Amino acid sequence: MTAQDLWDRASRYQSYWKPRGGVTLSGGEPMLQLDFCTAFFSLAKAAGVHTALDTSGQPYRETPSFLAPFDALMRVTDLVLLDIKAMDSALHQRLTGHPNESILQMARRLSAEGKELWIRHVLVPGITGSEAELRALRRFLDSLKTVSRVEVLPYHAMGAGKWDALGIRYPLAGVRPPTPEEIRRAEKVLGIAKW
Amino acid sequence: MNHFDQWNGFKGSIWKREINVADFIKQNYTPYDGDAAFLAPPTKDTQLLWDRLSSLQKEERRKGGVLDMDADVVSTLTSHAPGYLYPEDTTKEKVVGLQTDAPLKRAFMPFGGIAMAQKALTTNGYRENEHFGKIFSEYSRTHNDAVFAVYTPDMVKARHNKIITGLPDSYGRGRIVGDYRRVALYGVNKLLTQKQRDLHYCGSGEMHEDVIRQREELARQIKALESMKLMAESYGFDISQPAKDAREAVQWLYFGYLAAIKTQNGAAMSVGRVSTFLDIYIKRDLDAGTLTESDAQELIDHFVMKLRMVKFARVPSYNQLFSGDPVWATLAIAGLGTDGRHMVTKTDFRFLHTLENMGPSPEPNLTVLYSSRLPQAFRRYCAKISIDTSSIQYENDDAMRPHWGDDYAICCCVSATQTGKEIQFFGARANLAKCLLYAINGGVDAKTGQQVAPPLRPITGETLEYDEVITRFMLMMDWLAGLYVNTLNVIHYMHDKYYYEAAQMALIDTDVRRTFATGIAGFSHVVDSLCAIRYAKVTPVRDERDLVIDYKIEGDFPRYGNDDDRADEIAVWLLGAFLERLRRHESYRHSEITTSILTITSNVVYGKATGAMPDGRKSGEPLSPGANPSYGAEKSGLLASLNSVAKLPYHWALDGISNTQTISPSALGHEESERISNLVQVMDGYFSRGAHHLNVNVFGVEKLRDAMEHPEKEEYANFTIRVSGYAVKFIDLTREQQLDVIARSSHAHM
Repeated sequence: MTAQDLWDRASRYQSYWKPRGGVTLSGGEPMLQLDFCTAFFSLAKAAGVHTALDTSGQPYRETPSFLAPFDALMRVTDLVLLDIKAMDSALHQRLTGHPNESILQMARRLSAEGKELWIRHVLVPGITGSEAELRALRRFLDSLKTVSRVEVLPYHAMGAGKWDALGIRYPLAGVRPPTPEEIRRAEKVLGIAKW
Repeated sequence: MNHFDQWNGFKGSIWKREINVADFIKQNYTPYDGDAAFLAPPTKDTQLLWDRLSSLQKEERRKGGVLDMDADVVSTLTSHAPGYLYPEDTTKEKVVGLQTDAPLKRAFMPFGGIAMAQKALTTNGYRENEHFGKIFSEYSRTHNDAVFAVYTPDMVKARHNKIITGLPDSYGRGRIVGDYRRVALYGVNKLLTQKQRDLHYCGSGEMHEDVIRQREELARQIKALESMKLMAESYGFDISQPAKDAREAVQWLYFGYLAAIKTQNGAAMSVGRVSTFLDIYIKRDLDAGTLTESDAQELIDHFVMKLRMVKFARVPSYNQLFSGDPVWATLAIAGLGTDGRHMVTKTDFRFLHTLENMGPSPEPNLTVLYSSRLPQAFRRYCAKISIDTSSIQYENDDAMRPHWGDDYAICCCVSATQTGKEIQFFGARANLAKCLLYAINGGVDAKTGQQVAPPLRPITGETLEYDEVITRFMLMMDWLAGLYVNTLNVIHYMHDKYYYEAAQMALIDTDVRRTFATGIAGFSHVVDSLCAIRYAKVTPVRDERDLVIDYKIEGDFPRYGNDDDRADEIAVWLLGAFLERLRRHESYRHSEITTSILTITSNVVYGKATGAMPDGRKSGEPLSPGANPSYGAEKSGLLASLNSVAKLPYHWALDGISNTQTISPSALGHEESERISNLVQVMDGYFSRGAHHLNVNVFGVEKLRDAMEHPEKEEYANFTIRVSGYAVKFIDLTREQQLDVIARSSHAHM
C-alpha cells in the first residue's frame, strides 16, 4: 500500500474530524517507517489536516542518517504523542529491553524545536508508580517547554490472555491495576491539572 | 385585523391577518444558546402522577399488553366522559384529557375496518358487541371493506404474497399531522370562521367532483371543530378563544391532538413541532413572574406524560408488523430557521429533560432536527441524553430545510411534512428483495408457487449473469411500481371517503399539498445480491418445480455498508431506478410521489415472507431494517457504514432514509465528556455528508442479552432502544424480534 492509497482511504472520514481532530499514525512503531510516515503526513498537510505521531521514541538516534528523515517527518507533524515508560534507565531497560536515553533526547529536541508534545506514562503499581519515579518524571516534564498534555494510563491486565495463548510466561503476572487512589496520587505528583 | 387580549406582548402582524403559526413563531421566539443547568427536577405532583402511570403500565404488561378495552362505545370527540390519570384529585394533572374515560383504556374505532376492530377485541380476550358488526357492515361500510371491494385480483394476489406489504388497507393510514398549535394561538372560533369562509367560496358555484368532495370534507372539518369545543368543555375549558397563558397553550394544543387520537388510530399519530411555539408562551409567563422554571417543566412533563399514554386497539398481526405497541407520537425539536437563526429554545431542553425527570420512554418519539450549526451546548445535551437513554433520533435539518422550509414536522417515524400545509398518503412498502427473486423465477413466488407477476421468461442459465438479471429485474420493477401505485390509489381514495381525518384536516390549510409516500423494503439485500452476481459466482439451486429456491455463492464480493463505491453505486442506482418507475404513474389527488427506505420492525415479518437471496441471506431471515446494511456485511466499522448510507441522495427518498446504529459505550470514549464529544463529532460528520437520519443506541450487546433473559429486572422496565424510525421498550418486543435486534451489528469500534 502506498501513502496515497492510505490517504485516499483515510480522507473518506474527513467529515468526522472537524473541527478539531485529524490523523494519527500509531503502531507498532511508526518511526520504523519514517519515509512512509512523511509521505502520508505530507498529503494530510496539503489537505490542511492536523497530523499526530504516536510513538514510543525507541528508534530515535542522534545520528545524521536518522535525523535527516526524522526532521523531514517533523516538518509535517503537528503533534507527537510520546510514551515515557520509566525515568530510571535501568528500570526502563528491564521493562522494555532498551535504555531510555534516546527517548529523553528526542523529547528534549522536540521541545527545543517548539513541537507540541503529549506525554503518556503507564502506571504499573510497584514498578513505575514509585514516588521517586513520578517525581523524576515531573522534573523532566517541567524541563520541557512544549508539553500540552500529560496522561496517566492505568495498567490493565487484559493482554495476559494473549501471552497465555502464545504459551509465553506473562512477565507481569500477579501485578494488579492501580487503584483510583493511586491514579489520583500519580496525577497529583505529575501535576496533571497543570496541563 | 383581529386582536385578542390573549395576544398581548406578542409581536408581528401577518400571523394575525391569516392563519400562520410559522410567522408567529418567527416574530416571537427567543433562541437559547446556554446549557442545561437551568432545568428543574420533577415536582411532587409529577412524581405522584408518574408513579401512578408506571404502576398502570406494569398492570398493563401483567395483563398481556392491554389494560382495558372499550367494546360498546364508538369513539368520537364527544363519546366519552372526561377521564383522568389521578381521578382522586384532578388538580394534580396540569394537562388533562384522555382518549377514553380511563387511563390506558383503548377506544373502539371501527371506521378503518369493522372486522379488525372486532378482532382487536376478541384476540385480546374481550367480547365484541355484535350490534356494531351489523351496523358497520350491513347498514354502512368501513374503509377496509371498501378497499377490498375495489381491489383487482392482481392486487389481492400481490398483497397475499407480500410483495407489497404493510398496506394501510385494514388500519388507519395515520401520518396526517394537524397543526395543533393553531388551537392555542387562535382559539377554535377563528379557525371555524376561516373554514366556513373556505366552504363558502369553494368552487365558486361550479359543481364538479373535486369541488363537491372538497365541500363535503370542509363540512366535516367544521363539524369536527364544533365537537372539539364540546370535548374541551367537558373538561371545563373553553377553547373557542385563544390560550391566555402557557398552561392554557399546552392544554389547548393537547386538546387539538386529543381530537386526532380520539378519532383516528393511524399507524403514526405525530404531535408535530411544538417546542419553539410553546416556549414563547412559557417565556412570556416567566418574564411576567406568573410561572417558575419548576412550573414550566411540570407543564412539559405532564404534557409528555399524556403522550406516553396514547393507546390504540390493535390485532396481533399488526403488532408483528409494528412491534412494541408504538403510536409514533413523534415530536420534533430544534432545527434552524430559514432566516439563519437556530430554533433551539429552553423548551427544547425541557422536552429532552422529560427523559431524565421521568426516565427513558419510547413515546413520544423525540426527534432532534439536527445541524452542526445548532448551539454546541444543545448538541452536547442531546448526545448526553442519547448516551443515557437511547431514546432519541436525529434527522438532518440541513437536508430537509431546503425541501420543507423551517416549520416542518415529522409525521411518522422519520418523514417530514410541512406543518399545517401538507399531508402525506402513507404507502407502506414494496419488497424489492422479492421483486428480484420474481425476476429470476419469471414472476412466480417460490414460497407459494403462485404466478404473482406477469409470466416473464425465467432465468435458466447455470450461473447468474449480471446483465441478464438486471434487465429482468428492471422489467419486474416496471410491473411492481405500477401495481403498487395503483393499489395505493385505491386505499387512499377509500380512506378519504370512509375514514376521513376531519379533526386533523380542520387544523390544516384547505388548499393542502399532498405527497404520496411509497417505500422500499429489502434494500440492502438487493444491493448485495446484485454485487454477488456481478463480482462473485452465483449458482441458482432449483427445486422439483424448477423454481430457484437457493443460491450457491463462490468468491468474495463488495457489500453495501463498507464505503465501497462498487456496492454503494448499485445502492444509489436502485433507489433512483425504483423512484423513476413509481413516478411514471398517476397518483391519487395529484399527489407528489416520494419514496422511502425505512421498514421499522416489520423487517422481521417481511423477511419471513422472503426466500433465500443471492447475497447469502437465508430464506425467512429478517431483512435488514430501513437503509441499514445487511447483517454482518459491515466489516469496516461504524464510520464506513455511515458513509455508505450517506451516499443515498435524500432528494430521491424524500420520505426518509432510516439508519439505526448501536455503538458500545467504550467505543465512544473512556468517560462521559469524551463520549459526548465523540458522538457529537460522529453526527456532525455524518450529517454534513447529506445523510438523512440516525437512530443512536448506546449500549453493549450484553445488556440486550441480559434484558431478554431477565425482563423482570427493575432496570429493564423502561429500557428503551431505537429501532428503525421509532423507539420501543425492549422487553415489549417478541423474542424473535429481540433476537433480531441482538443480531444486528453493535459497533465496538468506530
